[in-house]
Order: sequence, then structure tokens, then C-alpha cells
Amino acid sequence: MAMASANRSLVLLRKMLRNKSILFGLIVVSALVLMAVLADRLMPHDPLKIDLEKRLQPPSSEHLLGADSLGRDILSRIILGSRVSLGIALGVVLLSLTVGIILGTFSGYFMGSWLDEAVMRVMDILMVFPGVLLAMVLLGVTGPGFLNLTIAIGVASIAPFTRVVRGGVISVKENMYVEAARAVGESTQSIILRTILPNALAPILTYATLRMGVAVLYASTLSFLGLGIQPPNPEWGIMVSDGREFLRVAPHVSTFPGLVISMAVLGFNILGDGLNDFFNPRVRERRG
Amino acid sequence: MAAMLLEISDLRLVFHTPQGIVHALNGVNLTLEKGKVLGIVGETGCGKSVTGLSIMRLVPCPPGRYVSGEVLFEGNDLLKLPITEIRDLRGREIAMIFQDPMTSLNPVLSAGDQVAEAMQLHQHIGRREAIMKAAELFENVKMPDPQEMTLRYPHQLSGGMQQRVMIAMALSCKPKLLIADEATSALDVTIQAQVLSLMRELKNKTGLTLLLITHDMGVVAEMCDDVAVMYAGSVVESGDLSEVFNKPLHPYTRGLLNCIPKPHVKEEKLPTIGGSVIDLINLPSGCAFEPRCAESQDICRKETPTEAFVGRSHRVRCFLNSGS
Amino acid sequence: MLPFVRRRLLLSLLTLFGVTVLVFLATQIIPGDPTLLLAGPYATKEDIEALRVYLGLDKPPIVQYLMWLSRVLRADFGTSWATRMPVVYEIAPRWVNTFALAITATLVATVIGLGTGIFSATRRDTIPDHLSRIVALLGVSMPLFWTGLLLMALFAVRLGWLPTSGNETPLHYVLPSLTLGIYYAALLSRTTRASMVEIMSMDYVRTARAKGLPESVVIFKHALRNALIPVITVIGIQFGYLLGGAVVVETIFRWPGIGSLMINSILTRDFPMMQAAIMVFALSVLFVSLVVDLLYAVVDPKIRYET
Repeated sequence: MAMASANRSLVLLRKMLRNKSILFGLIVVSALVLMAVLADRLMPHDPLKIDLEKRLQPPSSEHLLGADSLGRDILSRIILGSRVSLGIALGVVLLSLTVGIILGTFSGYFMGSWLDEAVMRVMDILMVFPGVLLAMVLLGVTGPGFLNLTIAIGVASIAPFTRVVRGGVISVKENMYVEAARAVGESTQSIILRTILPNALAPILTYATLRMGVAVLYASTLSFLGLGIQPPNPEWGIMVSDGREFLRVAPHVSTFPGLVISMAVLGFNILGDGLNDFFNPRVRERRG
Repeated sequence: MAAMLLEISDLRLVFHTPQGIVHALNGVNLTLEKGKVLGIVGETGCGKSVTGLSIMRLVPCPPGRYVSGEVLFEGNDLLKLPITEIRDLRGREIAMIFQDPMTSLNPVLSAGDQVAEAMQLHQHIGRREAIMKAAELFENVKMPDPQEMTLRYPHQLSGGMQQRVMIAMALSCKPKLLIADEATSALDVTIQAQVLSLMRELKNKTGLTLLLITHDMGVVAEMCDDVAVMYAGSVVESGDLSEVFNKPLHPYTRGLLNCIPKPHVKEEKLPTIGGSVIDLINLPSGCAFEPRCAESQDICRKETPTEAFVGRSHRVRCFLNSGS
Repeated sequence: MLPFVRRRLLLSLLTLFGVTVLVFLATQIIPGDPTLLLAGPYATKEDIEALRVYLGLDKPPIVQYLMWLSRVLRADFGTSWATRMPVVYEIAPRWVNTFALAITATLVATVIGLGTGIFSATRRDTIPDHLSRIVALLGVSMPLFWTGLLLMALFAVRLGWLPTSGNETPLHYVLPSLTLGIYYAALLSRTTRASMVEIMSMDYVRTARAKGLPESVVIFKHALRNALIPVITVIGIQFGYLLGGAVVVETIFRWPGIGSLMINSILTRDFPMMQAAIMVFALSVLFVSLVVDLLYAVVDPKIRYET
């Protein structure tokens, strides 16, 4: 039995990889993960080492992507920064996914009840503010830092996640096999865990992927504004901010970190788009 | 010889899909006399809807592609006309109504507006005049309170009403040919009967030629003068209704007629046609029906039967029954 | 339609109320004692106590909330801790600046986004469509601050064609609107395309073609009117967000708007200012979403004639 389900997962995986978007997105994201995990081995220089003689040096053989305002190697800082960005993204998604699944499942399953209404009203209030703003306000109250940043963006992501989970649960709930399970006498808990959630997984997974990209975007934006990760920690957003004053003489300081942010977010977006296409085949060919 | 309004010869259509090439139409031959009612029957996927759509050139190409054949309407090959001329024909000379009226009507436009559109386009009249004519049409299709109905939106109408709107829309410019693609399949039986009798009445009043595409033999029996049975993208048997129904020659036709439950005969099991729906991507080399045929022979597997005439208008595509 | 309007208004008010609670709560959980800050380093214990009573900080939270709410309703947000001036004086002109930027950016984004989205959807799976989709994907993946800096580096710093900060002349509007416009145009393009693709496969589009209507009428009169419904939501939401201040863009281009005010007040921990900025933001968003919902009723007869 276990073999059969393992086999099925493999077949599913192979079908997924045939989708070009999923394949490409997976490659980019894997590269990112590898960069974060193997950072210590990949970095050519010490990312924190200050060398004022090499200030603002353009890309050279020694510093492949150049040096920043304090002479630190940009490439090394970018590599180490991937650890920060991915870490935050993962934390954010884990936090908001957990809370979102709990709230969304109950809200969706008991659609129309006071519980559902209450949850939805609270989400409405939260969704008045775009994620960055909400996180900003939270950070304004708590202060900056890695953990605070993760929590702030996580809280800001709860509302959209809850909505998506709720939507997924509702659409699965309408299906006949849920009624069938209930008719056979399955307990609510069992129905939720065994039938509804696995089937609602597709939109949740897709959204989680897209949200990883959003988290990277938010983290770098907030750090750029000075509210997130603080110097001298290498984070892509702060690195762009560092280079702001030197746009005329040394544009590479801001350009390269921003490029990496874009590529990371692009990877997640492509992967998310691919998953979306995979789970929702849009075109219904009508024949005969 | 009565004039042939529509003549389809050896029509072949394929679809290029990621899963492979789908052979949707494999040599369809049809003739439709002016003023008559032709019914095309067959199971899902046999190509009857695509045939209807092909007449109006509504099949998206790509991914579709016409490999060969002609669709002659009053002598002109519709497949070769430029799209501007086809658009001129659509709605004016040939009209079509579809299966699900709820989804076939635009939800953001009023019923009157949608019916008026064709008239505004083809008859070059203004909106106000067209909507007045639409109300008249609504009266002809027996809608209660026709004036008020023109202001209603599709979601405010019942299924039967929606289909009447579609009929009114189709007949607004007095076309010569009306194609009804499963027009009553989505309706209740009682409403279905009403719509069918309405269509018959209109046909008798105006001399309209009807092409009814359906999977319901009952509809065919009630409405049609001629019938064509399709399977796997080609017409396996066609001809005068009473001839085909009383003396079916093709095993598939026989199977279909056999499947109709007989209320006064006691049967233990309802007869079925064995086997399953054919895969249009991988068509067998011989006769397409052979895998499911109880009377198949060797030649059926090797060669595709051609059409043979049996009687004045009766045609069959079968080695066993073409009179040899 | 009237019950729909009433319901929407009620919902907006409820949400607004909820926002005020949230805003008030946020300030309650700040670590540290604001009175110490306000009183200054030379205050005595009695002074601090007097200040606390004056500010009403000795009363229970509910009472404090109601006091605060009544002041807010009279548009009295108190005095800024940074400038020592009434907050309203700062906010009003800034809001106008943000509004001007929001309108410009939304216009740019709507024209480009809607146009490319429709273009893409009607030429589905062709090379122009693929190109357009890739560009849109890039557009939403690039962080606003980076796009802004790049544009600034190219057009203002290197080429010197455009100014880098302030909002005095129309030329000043170009770079900030472009930065915002690119991002939102990309977003709109994707939304529009997705919506159009779905609508174009609908049965009623086929019916329209079966009537012999020219393709342009099919696309614009039949398909687009239906496809626009979700697109309007996105435009509305984005406009609402922009009204609250595009913080990043305003910061980079030193645009004197609510967004830069918000971030400044956060960085300087000027809470009255922060509260006021948030409230203005919430009001803008709720107002815009109400207008958008009412617009629905105009476009979608199913809402207008709710059975």
C-alpha cells in the first residue's frame, strides 16, 4: 500500500516537471536554497570584512561583483544574504500558513456561522492595509530585527492566507464526496483532516509558493527603509539602500543586490504560476 | 429534384493537441434539402456538434485544421470563403442555437439588446427600432409579456424563457438554415416539448430548414424528415427517417434503436452496445466501429468501408449491409 | 440595489470602527512610557504625574479609547511629538500630494496594463503574448525601490533629464509615476489577461460570433465588459493603497506625501502622527473599495437586480 502511494507521488512529480514553468521555477528556487545552505563554502571573501582601500570598487577579478561603500565584497554579502532572505520567507510562510490553515479551515467548514463571520470581519480589517504597511506599523511598535521582521510580515500575511484556505475548503466542501463521507458517519474532525484538507492542498500550495516571493520582497523593502534587518548584517534590501548615495559613481552597489532580489522573487512567481496552471487546467476543449 | 440547401462532402477535420492529433471528422457526407428537417444523432464525441460548428466556421483553427472536404451552402463552399463573408452569412442566412442557454447568453446585456444586435448589424436598423422588433419576435416565440422581457437580464429568466430568447435571436434576420446543437438537452422534458413544438410551428410558417443535432432518438423521431447517424467522426448511416428507423442497416444504428426501452415488452436486462467510446487520437485502421461490432468480419478490420446507396436516399457505410 | 448599498455602507463603517480599535490597541502595547518622552529630561515626578492625568493615561483603557475616538471624530489627532504642531496641519497638504501621485500612477498603470492584458489575451499562445507575459512577470518581481533607483540612476543622475526629488513641476511626476506605474501595470496586465482568457472561452462569446458580429465588437462589447469585473477590483484596491501613500516611492523621490510622513513618524516614533496617517489611510482605502463595489452594481446587472 505504501509502495502504491509512493509510486503515485512519483508519477505526479514527473507530470509536474513536464510543465516548463514549474521546472524553471524549481531550478531557480533550488539554486537559491543551495546558495543559502552552502553559503560558507561559496563565499570568496568574508562578508563583514571592511577594507576601506577597496571602497566602491567596480567589478574586478578580485571582487566579482565589486565592493560596497565599506569595501566589503558584494558577491559574498549577496550569497550570505540569501540565507537571511530565505530564512525570513520560510518563517513567514510557516507562521501565516499555520494560522491561516487553522482559521481558514474552521471559517470555511462552518461557513455562514458566527465564527465564520467573526473571522472574516477581522480579516477585512487587516486587509485594509497592504502587507508592507501593516508590517511597517508592527515594526514601528516592536522595533527592528530578524525575529520581529519575520513575525511582522507573518502577521501581515495571515489575512490573505486565511482567505485562500477558506476559499479552498468551501469549494471542496461543496463536492459530493464530502456529503458521502458525512452520510457514512465520519466525524467532522476526520472529514476535515482526511478529505477536505488534502483536496484543498492545491490552491494552498500554490499560494504559499507565491507568498514566499512576496515575503522576500517585503523583507527587502522593509530593510531598505531601515525597519528590518539592521547593518552590518548582509541583507539584500539594506545593500540596495547602502548604494543609494553612490548611484552616480558606483551604481553596481545598488544594482546587483536588487537584481538578485528580482531573480529570487521571479523564481517563486514562475513556480507559483506553473503550479497554478498545473492544478487548474483552464481550457476545456469541446469536441462533438 | 428539390434544391439542396446544404451539402457536406468528405469533410475531414483534425485538432492539434498536446496529447496528439485528434481526428474529429473523418469524411462526413451530408445533404439537407430546403424546407426539410435533418437530425444528426450519435453519442458524445462522435463529431455531430463539430459538424454543426463547421458549417458556421465557428471551430477555432488553430488548433483545428480542415484537411479536406467541402461545405456547400447554396452552391458556395463555406470553407473557402473569406472570414468577412462568413460573418455576413452568420445570423443572416445561417443561424445557430446552443445547448445551455444560461451560459450562451451574455449576462451583462439585456435580452432585448442581444436579440436586437443581429438585426442592427444585418438589417442596418437603429437600436430603438431593433428592440421593438425584438419584442415582436418574443411574441412570436410565445413569451409572456414580450415588451417587459426585452428589458430583462438572462439571470432573471427561466431556462425555457432563455432558450426562447436564443430562438428569437437566431430567427431575427429570417435565416434560411437554423442549426440547433442539443438545443433541448438542458431543459426539462415538459419545456423541451414546448420548445420543440415551437420550432416545428415556426418551421411550418416560414419554410425554415432545420438541422437538429441531438443524442435523443425521441427528438429525432418526433421532429425530423431525415436522419444521419454519426460515429467516430463519420456518418455511418443516413436517409429518410422512416426507412432508417424501420430498416436499420448499420450495426450501430441497430444497436442504438435496440437500446430504447420498449414499455410493452418485458425485458430482463436493457440491451447495450458493448465496448467503450473510441479514442479519436488512435483510430483503428479499418472500420471505426469494428471493435464494438457483433457482426464484424476480417475485412472490417483491414479496410475502411465506403458509402453505398441502398434505396433512393438511404446510405450506409458498412461492408456487411451495402447490398453485396 | 438599495439594500446592497446599505449593506456595503454598514460593512465599511464596521470595518472602520475595527480599524480604530486596532490603531488604538497598537499604541497601547508600545513598550516604554510616553509621558517620560513628552515631559522631557527636566521634569519632576509631580510634573510627570500631572502630565499623565492631563493626557488621561491614568484612566482605564476603554475610557481612554472613547476619549481618543471622540477627538478623532472631531478630526483632532493631537499634537505631533516631533513637530509640536497639530497633526492635521501636516496631514492635509501631504494627502493632496499623495492623491496627485496616486491618480497619475493609476492612470499610467491602467492604460498600459489594460492594453497589454487585452492584447495578450486576444493573441493567446503567440510570441507577442509570451513576450508580454514574461515582461509582466518581471514587472511584478522587481522591488519598487530598486526599479525607482534604477530609473533615477538612468534618467536623473546619468542623463539629467528629470529631477530626483520634490514635486514642484509636472516633470517631477514622471519618475515616481513611472516606477509605480510599471509595477501596477504589470499586475493589471496579468489580471486582465487571465480574466479575458477565461471569458473568451465562454459560450456567450461563441454566440456573439455566431451572430456574425465583427471580432472587435465581440472582444470589446461582449467579452471585455464581463472580464473587467475582477479587473476593476484590482484597480480599486491598488488605487486605495496608493492613496495611503506609496511609502517606498515617496521616500526615494522625497515626495512630500502621506507615505513618507508615515515612515518618518514610525522611525521617529511620533505616535500621534502615526495614528493619524494610519487612520487617513484606512479611510481612503475603505472609501475607494466602497466606490468600487458601487461600480460593480453599474457594470454587473446581477448585482443591480438582486433577486
